[in-house]
Amino acid sequence: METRFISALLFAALLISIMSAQPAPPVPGADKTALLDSALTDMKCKVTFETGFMHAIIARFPDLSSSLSPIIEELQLDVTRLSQYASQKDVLNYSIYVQESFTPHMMTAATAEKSGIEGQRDSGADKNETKAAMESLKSKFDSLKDAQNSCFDAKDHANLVINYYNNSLNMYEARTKNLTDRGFDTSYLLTLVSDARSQILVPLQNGVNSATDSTGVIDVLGQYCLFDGCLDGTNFHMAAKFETKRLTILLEVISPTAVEAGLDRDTPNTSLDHANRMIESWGTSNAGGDQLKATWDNIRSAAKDLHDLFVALGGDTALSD
Amino acid sequence: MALLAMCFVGVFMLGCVTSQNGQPNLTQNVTTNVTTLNQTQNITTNVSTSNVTKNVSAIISKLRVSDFLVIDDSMPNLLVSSGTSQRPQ
Repeated sequence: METRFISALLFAALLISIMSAQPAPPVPGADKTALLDSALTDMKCKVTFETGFMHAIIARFPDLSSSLSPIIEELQLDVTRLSQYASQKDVLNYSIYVQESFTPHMMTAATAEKSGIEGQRDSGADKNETKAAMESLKSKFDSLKDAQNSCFDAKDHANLVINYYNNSLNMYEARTKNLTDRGFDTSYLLTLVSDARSQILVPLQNGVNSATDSTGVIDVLGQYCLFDGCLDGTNFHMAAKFETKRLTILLEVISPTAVEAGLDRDTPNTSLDHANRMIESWGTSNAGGDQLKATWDNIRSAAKDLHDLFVALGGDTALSD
Repeated sequence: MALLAMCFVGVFMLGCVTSQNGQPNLTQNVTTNVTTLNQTQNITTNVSTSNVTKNVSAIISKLRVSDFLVIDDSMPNLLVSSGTSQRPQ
């Protein structure tokens, strides 16, 4: 009887501790999978269209096989590589590959198709045959385009992006509040989150709402990026900015005591300085893959050095990253 | 026996003279000053250590281990916005 009473007490205490624990800030990791899958679908639909159209051109004009077939193979290889990145949830390398390889390959395909068709039109071959071939290609183009449009829903993808941005900014807000509650000066972080909403999220939502077709939606998605990837648009670099400033706040708090205790605070300071200068140099432009990797290396290095200082001052050592 | 007594008296006298010269007192003073200096240093060190300890405690209580975890939730634009083919004319 006594054992049961003690067990009930322990269970009640456990329940109370679970219920009173602070909720973990929302981490939008789960949504990354949905976005990657959606982007992969878009990429495959585009490749299906391009390769289908190039096969149709080769069928009408076999001479063009030598110029178009290697491009078809290249695009099929892109599908394999991007599928691998997506299955590994490797967003950074997926994005870098899209920008540095897949996009140029798509442009090459479009240019080769156009110049190939124009070359056949001006080749002096039988005009009726050429005209019939062109009509056939137009028809094939239209049917492939219809298939592509029903293959990928740009508006659904845009809603995934908007939800992701919104969840992400809520998470940054929760993390900032957590620091504020512990007495840190978080005014810069609060301004950062507010600016991200007004400069990226709001115009993106408005743009998507007013877009009339999938091309318009995709254009707007390429105009407002909370992180990176807008080649001709506004890139806010939110994650890198937030983490660099957050760690700078921690460094400012630890520094006087670390110096007093004879510990090195210059190493994390240098890493954060490098990261900060890199981010400032980007402005609102898209950051290249190597620059992003170098910046995150500096941020992670500063975090590790700061944790070492924390441990040297007697803090907990259990850092699991 | 008399010689032994004289020797004893001699040693006693020498001790008195040495004492009157003040040599032992000088040694005592030096030792005391060194001790005082050490004590002063110790007090100063203890006061500094105490301040650092207080500061460290304040800092440590303000920070969490999770503060040193870096979260990169970057989600770049993954769509291709250019490079699509044109309809044949």
